[in-house]
Amino acid sequence: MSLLEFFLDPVLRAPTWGCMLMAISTSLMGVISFLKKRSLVGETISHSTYPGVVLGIIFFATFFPRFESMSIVFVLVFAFLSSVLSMKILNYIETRFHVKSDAGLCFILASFFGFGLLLASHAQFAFTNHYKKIQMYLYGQTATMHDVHILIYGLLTSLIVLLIYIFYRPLQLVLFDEGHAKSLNINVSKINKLFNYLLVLSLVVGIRSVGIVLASGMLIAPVIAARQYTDRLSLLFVLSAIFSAISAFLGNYLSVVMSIDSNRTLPSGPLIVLVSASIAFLSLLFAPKNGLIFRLARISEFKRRCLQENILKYIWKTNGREVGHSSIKDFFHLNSVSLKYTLLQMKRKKHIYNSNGSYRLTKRGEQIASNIVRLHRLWELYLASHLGMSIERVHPNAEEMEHILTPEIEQKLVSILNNPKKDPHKQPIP
Amino acid sequence: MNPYWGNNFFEFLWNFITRLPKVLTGLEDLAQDEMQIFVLFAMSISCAMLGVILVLRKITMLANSISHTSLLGIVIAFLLFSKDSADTQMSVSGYLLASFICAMITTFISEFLTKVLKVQEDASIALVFTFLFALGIVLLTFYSRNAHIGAEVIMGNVDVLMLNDLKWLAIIALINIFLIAFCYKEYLITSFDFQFAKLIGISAAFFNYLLMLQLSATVIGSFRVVGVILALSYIVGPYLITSLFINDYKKLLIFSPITGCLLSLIGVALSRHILSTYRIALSTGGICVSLIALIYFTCLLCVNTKKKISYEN
Repeated sequence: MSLLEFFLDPVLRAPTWGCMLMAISTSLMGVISFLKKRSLVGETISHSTYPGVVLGIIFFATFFPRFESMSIVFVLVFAFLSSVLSMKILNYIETRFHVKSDAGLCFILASFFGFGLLLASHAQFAFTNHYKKIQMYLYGQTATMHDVHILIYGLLTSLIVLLIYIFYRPLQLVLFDEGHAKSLNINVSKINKLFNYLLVLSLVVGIRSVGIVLASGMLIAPVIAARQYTDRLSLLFVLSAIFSAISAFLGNYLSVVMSIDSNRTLPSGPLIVLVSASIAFLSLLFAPKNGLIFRLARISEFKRRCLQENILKYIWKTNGREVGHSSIKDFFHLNSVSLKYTLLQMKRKKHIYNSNGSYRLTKRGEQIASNIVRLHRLWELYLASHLGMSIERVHPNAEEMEHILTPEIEQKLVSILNNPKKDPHKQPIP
Repeated sequence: MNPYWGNNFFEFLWNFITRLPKVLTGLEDLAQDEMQIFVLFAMSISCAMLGVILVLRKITMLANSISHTSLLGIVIAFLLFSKDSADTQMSVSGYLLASFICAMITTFISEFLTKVLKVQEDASIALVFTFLFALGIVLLTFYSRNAHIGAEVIMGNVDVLMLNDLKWLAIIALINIFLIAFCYKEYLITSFDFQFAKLIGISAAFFNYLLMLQLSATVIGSFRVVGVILALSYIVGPYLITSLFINDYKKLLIFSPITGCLLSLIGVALSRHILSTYRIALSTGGICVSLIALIYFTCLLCVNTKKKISYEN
């Protein structure tokens, strides 16, 4: 099977497109609930679709048992209604009875899902033929999707995309600064309501392919990944849609391939969630700028620079006396290997040179060292004279600031302090 | 022959009360319905007590999170310890290992995400438990020959119980009662005032991990027997109902479990009633969850009208 076949083949294309569409719609709404810091609401919403799903199937089986392909419509409608009901109740007990948000979420989740299981246990005996259909929604099953489903999911997804596009500006304002949005005459509560309904809708679309139990994972994982690459809202939407589409495709692909290989049906939902969570974890680790690896690298780079500058300063202060390897080692409490490495690097940069076992500064090294000392003493003076710190306490702070101060700040300091010659300890400023 | 066969609601309760002394003294064998009731009693005691602490700490959704990740713990323990996959009863070591793995993995990864990777807290919880649950399901389908992942995974099956299950849940309930009674003050202080706890030398992190361990042991104990959704409902439900009438922390710890026990008794009786009168077999767990929700909302309305009247006067 080539990859292209997954998009075109009459049997394979429905699951592929269905998964991708659904993933896009949930991940777009995920961006909003992520930014509102209410990521766990999705969990409650998706679980409270369950009684709706069961009722939808029962309703369809009782009244329209002949229109097999229409069952999806009933399921969608009933699931939507039951989730909306759950949100209303949650809102009611939170505002009216001051039930803590997390307890309310958990209680509504358990109650609705439990009620769904009660209905399902009834359906198991009363509508045995359709029971499988109900169970399919728990962990998601894409293999039985048809082109009708693509059409319905496509319509719903484009509705969500369209509404986000139309209401992008007010949404942005409401998300980041509600007060400002209010002052601009934007109806905040209406916008919030609209997007709550859209969130429910996107999860209702999502449960078919990812499953009720895991739909909230698809809500959050793509946006966590996307957040590592950008600070802009518009890019956040685009990136999380892309990540979710990729993971939906891969998850579905793996589900099909592995099911054929191992001869048992692997539900698509867990695989899609696994792929998208892996993308999120990888991004958290390796994303440029925000990823853990790069952050650690930046920190260690800064530490190395500080150490080199401190060594230069140390040699500068000894004023031409012998500075051997061991005296530096004792002063900085370093182990031999890392010190040797650092000194080697400094030699390579031509900041220091070795003569008869002692280290001396080159012209360039001397310049840097004296500049560091200058910054240190300027800052001490500034702390003492302008910020009123006592002279005994200025040194430790200056030890850190000397590595951070930029030439512009130095200029400012010089002009504020009237180009001073001595620091508070009566040492000359070079 | 089940002595409760064909009983309606009140007959059931009367029958239960009259049979109780005989069963406890060992004169009569434990009937299936009584087993259900005792299992649910044990579970509701554990869950309701833990629930009070969890709600107080505003980390109830962590119970939801652990209830999902417990699947992974069980699957791993299952792969490590059971040689033939037909063996559904877990050994003691497997059981302990599962709850330990699940509590540690969940708590550790969530904290790693928030503290080191700087993900906001709610998002990291959502990411971790969905990821681990998905992993659990995939492993389960791959390695167990007869993977039946349906409602049973989340709902358990209260209608088929064994004496062993009861024994386990009773032990867990006793341990929970003991730990909470013993560490009552520590739990109280670490929930209310982190700084003060630190000051007087109580390690908040230790009690956090202890709580997670208790929680995951309880959830895993309930897992096979009644399912995690019922456990979740018993964690929050009794607390919410009781807290409408009682505000005192200590009293809540005593009365929430009692409420839970009463609700489970009524739930089982109701399930029997529906079976005898209407010939419909509904899942007892589902009935219990729905009952808790129903009672809570009824209580809400009662309290609501009462408040209104007192306000108008």
